[in-house]
This record gives sequence, C-alpha cells and structure tokens, in this order.
Amino acid sequence: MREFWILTKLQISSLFGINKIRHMKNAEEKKQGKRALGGLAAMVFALGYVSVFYSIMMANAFAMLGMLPTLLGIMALAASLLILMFSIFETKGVLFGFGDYDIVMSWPVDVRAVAASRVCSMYAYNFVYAVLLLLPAGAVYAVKAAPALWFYPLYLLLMLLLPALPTIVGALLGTALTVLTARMKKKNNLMSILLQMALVIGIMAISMRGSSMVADPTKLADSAAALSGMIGNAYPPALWFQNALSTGSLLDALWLILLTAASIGLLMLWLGKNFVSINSRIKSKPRGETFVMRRQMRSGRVIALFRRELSRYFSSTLYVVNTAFSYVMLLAAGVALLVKADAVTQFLNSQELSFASVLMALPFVLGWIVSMGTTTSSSISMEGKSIWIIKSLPVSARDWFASKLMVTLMLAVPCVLVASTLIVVGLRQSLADAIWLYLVPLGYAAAFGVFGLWLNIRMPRLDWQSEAEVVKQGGATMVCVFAGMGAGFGPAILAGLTGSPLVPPVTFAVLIVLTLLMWRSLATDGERRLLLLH
Amino acid sequence: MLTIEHLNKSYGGDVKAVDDLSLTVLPGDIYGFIGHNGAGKTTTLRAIAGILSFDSGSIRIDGKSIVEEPIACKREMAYIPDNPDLYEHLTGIQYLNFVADIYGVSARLRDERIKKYADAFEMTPRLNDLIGSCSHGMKQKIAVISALIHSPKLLLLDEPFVGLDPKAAHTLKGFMKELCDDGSAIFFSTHVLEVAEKLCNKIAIIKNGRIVAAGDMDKVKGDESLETLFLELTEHA
Repeated sequence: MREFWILTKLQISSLFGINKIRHMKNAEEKKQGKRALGGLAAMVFALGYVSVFYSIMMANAFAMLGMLPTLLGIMALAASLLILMFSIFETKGVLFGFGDYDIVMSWPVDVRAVAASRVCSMYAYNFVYAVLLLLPAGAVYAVKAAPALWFYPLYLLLMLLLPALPTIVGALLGTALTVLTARMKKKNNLMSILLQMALVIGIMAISMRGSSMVADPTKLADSAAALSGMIGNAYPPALWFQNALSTGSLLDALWLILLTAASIGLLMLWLGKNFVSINSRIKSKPRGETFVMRRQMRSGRVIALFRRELSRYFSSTLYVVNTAFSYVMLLAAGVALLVKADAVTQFLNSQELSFASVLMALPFVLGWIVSMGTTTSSSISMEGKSIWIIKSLPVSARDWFASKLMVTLMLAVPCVLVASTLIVVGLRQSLADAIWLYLVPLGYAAAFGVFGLWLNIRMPRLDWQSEAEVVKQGGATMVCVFAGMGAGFGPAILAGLTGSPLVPPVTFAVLIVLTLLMWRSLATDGERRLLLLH
Repeated sequence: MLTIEHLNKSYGGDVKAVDDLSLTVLPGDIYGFIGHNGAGKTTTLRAIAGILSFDSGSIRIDGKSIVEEPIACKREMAYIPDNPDLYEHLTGIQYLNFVADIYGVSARLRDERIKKYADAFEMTPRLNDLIGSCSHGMKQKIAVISALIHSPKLLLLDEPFVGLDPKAAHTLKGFMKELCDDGSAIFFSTHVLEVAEKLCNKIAIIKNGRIVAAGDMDKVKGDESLETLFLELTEHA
C-alpha cells in the first residue's frame, strides 16, 4: 500500500505540469507555465459554465414533466460516456507503453502497485471531468428538490465512485486495441487508427441512439419511467446513481459500490498477471528490413519539414483519431445531407425550425467541425524532447510553422471541398449560398490552423510522458476546441436569427484578417519563442 | 571559427550558469571543454548552437553572430546533445535524409557520406529500423552521422563518447581528426580526460561557470597530466 501511495503521488505530481511550474526558476519559463495553467483553468471554468447551463436547462424541463431525478441519471450517463472514450485513448501511454516504464519497473515495487498507480492516474484525470459534469447537476438538483441531509455525503461518495467503472472498461478496451496493434507499428499503423476510429464511432452511435430519444419530445413526454428505462438499458450504473440519490435506495447505492469494488479488484488481479507481458509486447518494436544503400532522393527544405510533420502525425494513433475524427464527421454530415436531404428537410420543418435559418447557419456549423480537427494546437508540444533538433537546424520558425499548418490544411481542405459539394448537391443550394458553404469552412480551417500554432507556442508542454497529456489534455488544445465552439456557434446563431446575408462574408473577412494577424505575429515573434522552448 | 566574448547566462536567481566566458576556436582545432557536473559546459554548448538564449556577451561563428544571423550560423555547424532524443517515428535513413534535405546536401554527396559513415559505424543494415527501436548507442551513431552529413565547419558535441562501444568511439575519433584536417573545428565537452588529452590540441576547464584555464593543451597542462591539473584547478582554485 505504501508503494502504491508513493507511486501515485509521483503520478499526481505530474498532473497538468503543476509540479514543474512550481519549481521553475527561470522567470520566462515560469510565465509560460503559468499561462498554460491559466488557459487550463479558463477551460475548466468554461466547461463548468456550460455544464451549469445545461444542468439548469434540463432541470427546468424535467421539473415541468415531474421527472427531476432524471437529470442525475442523464448527467451520470454523459459523464460515464465521456470518461469511457477518454480512457480508451489514455490507456496507451498512461497504463501501457509509458515513457518511464523502464525506470519505474527497475524499482523494488510490486507490479500491482505500479499498475494501480497508473490506473489511479487515469482515474484522477477522469475525476476532474466527472466533477465538472456532476457537481453542477447535483447542485441544481439540490436547489430544486431540496433533498434530505443524507443526499450530500451520498452524492459525494457516488460521484467519487462513478468514474471508476468507465475508466476500467475504457482501460480494458484500450488494452485490447493496444495489444491488437502492438506489432503493427510501422506499416500497419493505419489499421490501429481505423480500429480506434471504428470503436469511437460505435460508442457515439450507441450514445446518439439514446440522445435522439431524449431529443424526441413525444418520447420525453411519455413518462419518467421510459427515460429511466433508456438510461438503465444504456448504462445501468447511471440509473443506480439516479435511484440511490433520488429515492435513497440503499440497494442501488450498494450495487454501484459493489460493482465498482469488484471491477477494481478484478482489474488489479488481471493487471498483476499481465502488466509486464503487455508492456514488454508493446516495447519490443519490430526490426525493419535490412537496409541496402540505394540512390537517395533530395527534397526542398519546406517539403522535408512537411514530410517529417506528416510522418509524426500519422505515427500517433491518438493524434490522428483525436483530430481526423472531425473530418470523418464532416464527410458523414455531407453524405447524410446528400442521401437523406428530403428526410432532413422534413425533420427540420417538424421541429418548427425555419429551413432557411438552418441553411444560413450551416457554413458556421461546418466551420466549427473543421476547427475541432485542427492538428496544430498540439503539434508544437508533440515535438517533445526532440525539440532540440529543429532548434539546432538551419530552419526558420516560419518554415517550421508552415509545415505544421500544411498538415492541417492538407486534411481540412479536401474534406471541406467534398463535404460542401455533397451538401450543395443534396440541398440544391443557390450559387450565393454555395460559395459561402465553401469559403466559410475554409476560412475556419486557415484561422484555426494558425490559431492552434499561435496558442501552442504560448502554451507548450514538451516534457510529456504520454501523448494524451498534450493531444487530449493540453491547454492549447482545450482552448482551441472551446474557441472553435464559440467562433462557430456565435455567427451560426446570428445568421439563423437575423437571416442577414452579410453574416457569412463578414465572418469570412474577420477570419482572414485574424489569420493574417496571427501569422504575422508568429513570423515576427516566432524565433524568440522557439528559442524559449526546451 | 568560433569566438565567444564575455558570455553570461543565469537561470534566474543570483547564481550564474556561465560567468563572463570568453574563448576562441580556430579552424583545425579540436577543442576540449571539461568541468565537473553542473559547471556550465552544456549551457555554453547550447548557447553556441543557438538553442538557448543568453543574458549578455557575444557568440560568433565564422564571423556571424548567432543572435543576429542564427540560420546562417546554423548552416555552418552541427550539434549533438549529450542525450540525443531523435525522431522515434522515423527510420534511420529517413532521419538522415531529413537532415540532409534541411542542409541542402545533394543526392550524390549524401549517398557518398551516408555510405561512408554508416559503413564505418556498422549501421548500414539497420538504417531501415525505426529510431524508436534503436539502442542508445545506435541512436548516438545516427546522430553523429547526421551531424557529419553536411561536412560542418564547426562541430559541437556534448559528451559524444557516452553510449558508444569502444570501436565506434575509435571510429568517431578518427572522423573528428579527419574533419579538422580538412579545416573544420570541433568544440566538445567530455568527462573522459584521457580522450581529451590525446585528441585535443586545445583545452578549456570550466568551474562554476568561469573558465579557470584555457589554451593550447601543452601550455595549459605543462608537465602534469590533464587529470592532475583538472583536480588541482577544480578542487583548489
């Protein structure tokens, strides 16, 4: 147990790089570190704010229908789903194949203590997300339902337990993927990417089935039992969470506690036996074919940088799945609007939404999806300990930035062109609308590509042990995602409400001006900031 | 080839990592840089390589300032850190081609040089392996080949012999001499005093960020061994 606590303390000290920032001596580095932490704090606040907003909205709706406790079940389900997805991504790098594996395993500590400390680290990250979703929901529920005093300690206990199960299931799914693709490192990395993408799409499809039921007012009005049944079918622990807290059902609380405890016990038992063998399998990398010297080809400097960047991007399954997923969504939206154009039109009319308003908002929604696929917001952090190479080579910061931007544009531009064409054909858009359906998302691609670089050079994290620390939890990535949400939905709402034809051109112009300004800032200040990275 | 004048660098606080350091490395020099752990060797090398900013002083490579003309300076030199973290997602040959592309090395010259250096370090058959699967010594060899691929005028090495097997260390020493015979210069840090004594024509000893002895090897050490001199200067000076 003592070993577990020592190792866990070590893990927790690296959370969000707080310990490093605390002990930095260099004033400039400290400033940079504080900025990164500030960004994270702002994002936590933003996520918390969105969570409070949704909780209040849902609580009001559910209260009117006399089914307020459903709020707890829905939020527990949402938190569990989010944690499940994050855990799948985090497994490789946090639980298996982590950077300091050799040194940690050389210490005289029990393998189970090492494995448990890694799971605990995953849990700690996930707990933050759970708190952000569940605490506002609990507070709103408490205000509206005025429960008895036992509610509060039980809520805290169950909120503490709830993230454990999806973390464990996510870790197991992530492990299965990791083992399956461990030997596919070089040529078959594509298979690893496709498998992860398929898994995420599968989970999303299941969750969307549930959420479409929630969005359907006829089903929502049916009864609280129908919705609770849906939650119970999708994920029984979420329903136990709801019942235990709303009715004080000790049985439901016990189910949740026992299932969590049993899962932890079984996982530890399994990890104790398989932790070393799985890590060894991941660590042993296949040898390439024997090299025979042949004529080598020469490339230009920027092309060489671009190829290096592209190779880095596709070498990381996590990086690809986390960003390219947006482009898959974009293409899926395009195909859906082409194939199901009539059904979509019918649905929009049934929702009492003006079809014209939706069409006005469409370019910005596409822009928002594009902004989520930006690869640049973690591309500088992804250099990691190899940053010395770029710094010591005769490469200007501008060329280095350009190579990173080119990767984002290489992914975004073809996807936007294809998706927009599908939508234009499917919805039989006019020429004027069609132009903005292309230009606005392309403007977002350029603006967020440059914005990602602009953010990441100010909020870098190069000392990561796992790619998840920068790709999923990096301050710059999170700021970029939330900024994209604001930049997409703001004009979308404005365009939808006003119907003004000026919104697309003005937004496009603003995006281009911001792109140029940020690029200028990078070009003039980039060398100095690059020098500060280490 | 390399002129450092009154270089100062601190990492915050009063303690200086490098304190008023000045030295000159001429073409053909193999200049050893020795000092205890934390004396300021790596900081100095990183500042020369243009990857670390410094507080005051100047560093010139072939007459050009590393602050004012960093790209031009970097074209003339190569740097290998003490722990070369290379791109693990690339194979050895991909990494060498990447570096050659950055320095604009022609296809013919890179073929010649990769073959020459990779054969000498017995790395040719393994150049298709991912760098991530290479041992520390193999990574070090790839880093050395990448540094030699454009025939730099100034080669900066931080503890270059760490991790190399005896044969590879011997091969590297041969290439260092060959490079300097062709008019280039080498400035490198080492803890292996016997190597420094045999290989270098010039030496600088650094203690707490300050140079305590520098110049021609014979003049600096006189009749003493380098080890005796080093211990005297670093323990009693």
